Amino acid sequence: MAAEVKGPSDIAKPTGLANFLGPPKLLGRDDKLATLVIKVDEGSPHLKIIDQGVCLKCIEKPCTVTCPVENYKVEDNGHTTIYWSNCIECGTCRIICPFHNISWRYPSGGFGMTYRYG
Amino acid sequence: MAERCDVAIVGAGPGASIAAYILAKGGLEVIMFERGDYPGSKAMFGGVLYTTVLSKYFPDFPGANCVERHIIEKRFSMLSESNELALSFKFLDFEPPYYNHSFTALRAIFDRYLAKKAEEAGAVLVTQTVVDEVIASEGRVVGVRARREGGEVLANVVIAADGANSLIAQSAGLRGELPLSVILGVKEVVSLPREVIEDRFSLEGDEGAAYEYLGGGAVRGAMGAGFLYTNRDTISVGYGIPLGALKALGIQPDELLNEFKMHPVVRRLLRGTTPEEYSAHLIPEMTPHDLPHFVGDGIVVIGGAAGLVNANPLFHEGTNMAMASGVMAAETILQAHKAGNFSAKALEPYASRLRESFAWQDYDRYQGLTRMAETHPQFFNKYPYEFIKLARKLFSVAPTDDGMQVPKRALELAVADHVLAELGLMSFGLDLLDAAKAAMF
Repeated sequence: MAAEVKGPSDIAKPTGLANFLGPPKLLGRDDKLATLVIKVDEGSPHLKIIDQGVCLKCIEKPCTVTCPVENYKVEDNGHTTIYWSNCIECGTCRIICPFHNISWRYPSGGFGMTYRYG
Repeated sequence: MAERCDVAIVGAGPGASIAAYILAKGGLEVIMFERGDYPGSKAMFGGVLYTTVLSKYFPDFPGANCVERHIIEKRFSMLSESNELALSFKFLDFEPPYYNHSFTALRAIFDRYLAKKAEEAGAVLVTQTVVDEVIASEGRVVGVRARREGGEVLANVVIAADGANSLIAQSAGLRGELPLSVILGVKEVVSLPREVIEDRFSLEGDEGAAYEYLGGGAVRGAMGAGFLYTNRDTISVGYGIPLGALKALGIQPDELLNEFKMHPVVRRLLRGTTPEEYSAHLIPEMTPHDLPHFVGDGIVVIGGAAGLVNANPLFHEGTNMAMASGVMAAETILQAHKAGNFSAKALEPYASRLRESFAWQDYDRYQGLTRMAETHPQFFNKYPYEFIKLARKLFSVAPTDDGMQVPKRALELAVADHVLAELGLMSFGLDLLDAAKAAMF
């Protein structure tokens, strides 16, 4: 019997690679936060809105679109709330606020976010 | 009574640790403050560490598991929504152990390695301690105030090594508010078995690749760039974008990252990956006008705190400049210690040495190019598209109605037409001239 000619589909595929051909896994905001270790300093927010009146007059509200963990939300009454316990301490809001209306400091030592890779 | 030391360093990143190492070796009492659980626990960078300065002090670093892979390929890519035009430079002729002094790294690992070296030399590392401000007396810095009971530490010199946000430089009056030219870096570390990474990126052993992406498909044509760096069994994928440009785009940073990851070109490289860690950090890209003063009475500013980054699309450097500035600051402080004078004048040699070094020269040269880019958005939102269109026209294999094929001459003419009509040779020429001017002066 003549030797069987192997076509491309008959050639053995490496077994390891086959498990890693699916689309990259994407994370929503909450899942992204879940990849981080965050120790919350309960009851002592390190970020505060200085004057809600200023936020009410702010039209752009750039804090709500530039924070990498979407910590700034405009409530129904027009006030801006900071979900500070999710903060990853980058400093974006401090610079982006056109009115310097955010009192910004780092969480106290040992609190806040910890990177395992960085 | 407040504690006393010779030098108080705020921060424990690469610049801080190498400075602490040199100062401790020189016999000085050094305290290094880290606000996180360990050095690197609050740090993030894109991913490539340039090791010229490092290798002089710690020649054994490649064997110490503190870096990931040495770079053998730099690839620059222009993306439209569905196409890519790339230029790759592979360099296989650099010798071990340092190769081309370019290693991918993860800060939570590398910073710990370097801080340990400083500790072994005798520096004291205090973790989980935030320093909010300097203590000033009669117009000079005399110490730092840590946020805890009895947190005052007096020192002859304070080194502000607290990174991009540098509240210390600001509290000492050496810098104003950060400008909107500051870049937000957003990244995910995604995992993939090392043999899959090596197979997918054509790497052997510990070789690594650094891919940079520009154009509409990367960060929606904004001034900014995406990146993809291979680590051992993870990939760092992310982008950098000036805050001003991010604000103008009006898209959430985490959505923009997912968009980049799902770009048809990028997606193929990230198949089968699982996100392990999301991160974001500022890159202190500033004009010389916005930079802090590098020295004051009793204080020096180094690394990212001093705005020392080269964040243009060609070169992404910073940690090497931080380490260089740390070395120069430490050596100046050792001299000042001998003379017993810690005034701004006595510390000034640090600033002048810095300005003569690559750290300042590269910053200065390339920030000019970045300023040019700010006023020429076409380099990000027009030309990448145009070049991709040209390539697509030239390389289209097009059938004709009669069952034959469009001759190459017709394709060449279509390219020429496009260059004349769409690219605008005149304006493109002028833009190139601007770029050349910015690069040269």
